Amino acid sequence: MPELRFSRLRNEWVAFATERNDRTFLPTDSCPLCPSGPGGDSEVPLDDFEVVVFENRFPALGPDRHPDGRPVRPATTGCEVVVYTPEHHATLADLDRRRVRLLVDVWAERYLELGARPEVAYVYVFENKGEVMGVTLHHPHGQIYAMPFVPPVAATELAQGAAHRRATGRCLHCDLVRSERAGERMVLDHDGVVGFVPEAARWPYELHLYPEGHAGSLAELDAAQRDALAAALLEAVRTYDRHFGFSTPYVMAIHQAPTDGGDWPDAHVHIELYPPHRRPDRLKYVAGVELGAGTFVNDTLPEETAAQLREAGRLA
Amino acid sequence: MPVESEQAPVAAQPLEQEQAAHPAATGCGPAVRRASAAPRPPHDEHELPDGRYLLAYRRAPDA
Repeated sequence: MPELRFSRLRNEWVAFATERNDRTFLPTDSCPLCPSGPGGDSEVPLDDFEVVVFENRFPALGPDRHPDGRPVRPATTGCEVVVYTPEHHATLADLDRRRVRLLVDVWAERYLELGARPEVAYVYVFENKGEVMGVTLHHPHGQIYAMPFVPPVAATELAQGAAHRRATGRCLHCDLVRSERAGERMVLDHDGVVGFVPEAARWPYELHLYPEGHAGSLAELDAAQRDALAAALLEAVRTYDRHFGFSTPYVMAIHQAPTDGGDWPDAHVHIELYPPHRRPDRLKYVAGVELGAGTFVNDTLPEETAAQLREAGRLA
Repeated sequence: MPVESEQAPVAAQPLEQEQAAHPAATGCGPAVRRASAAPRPPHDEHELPDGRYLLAYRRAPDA
């Protein structure tokens, strides 16, 4: 049964989920995320689907379970798997724009549904792609954690945003987008969604994608904004593949407003992408300085990597 | 009285955590912001043999 423990030393929650230690790991005989038909033995016993969401069999967080293993209802916190397509060998970059737009809609739906649960303070949507990022199933999928607290990265962003608003009266994210828009770190611009390598990127080819209009969550975006975000996300991951020359691993993280009952005017929804490569043949590792001191060392300059990504984008 | 050089620059000060870093591991109620007018994708609900839910989403007809 998953358990949360609070570290007084680091002021952070740590999730313990011992069942995950024996979860399915890179299976070769059958894929748990492929459709297996009614009565089938995969996690998706359907003939076909566009996008499916199901409760993770090996969750890092709740819900509680009955002695027979069945989840307690109504559901509380928990973890969901989002399967992007029935095509086993596809990646997000291979999907068509309409499928990615559906994904954006599904993420927005899950934000609303999970965020409405009284126990859920934060809905975290993310994807780990590639074995170097720890995936245990290659079938294209992402995850959603419905968390009972605001996680530290989001909390820091929100605190920075609140401090900025106190000092200027404006949204920090909106100001960042304005300052980056015409600058040398810009990579893409799709109908009101901009993508840039942040000034103090932790990762060499880190990209942040922002809807320019202020919105706290995907659920606040209108149809045109969602179309633009889907197009920008597709362009970003395809640009990575063109730049590196292979299907590029990454972590994708979506930051949205907490759902804890508070008012969060400084939340501005955006997507962050962290590919681990610093060159096609070299990885950037999270090691001594990053783990032990909490300070990232970046072997590249964001202005230079942004220029490389712009060039790769032009090759489309 | 400390001289100015001994004071940490404002930018290096740890942030007040305020509401963002509240350590309580619980939410306090539904608080999702307004939904837009974007069409919501229809879906079918299923139950897996062990009681977990599975939701199959489709594109909205006008999306």
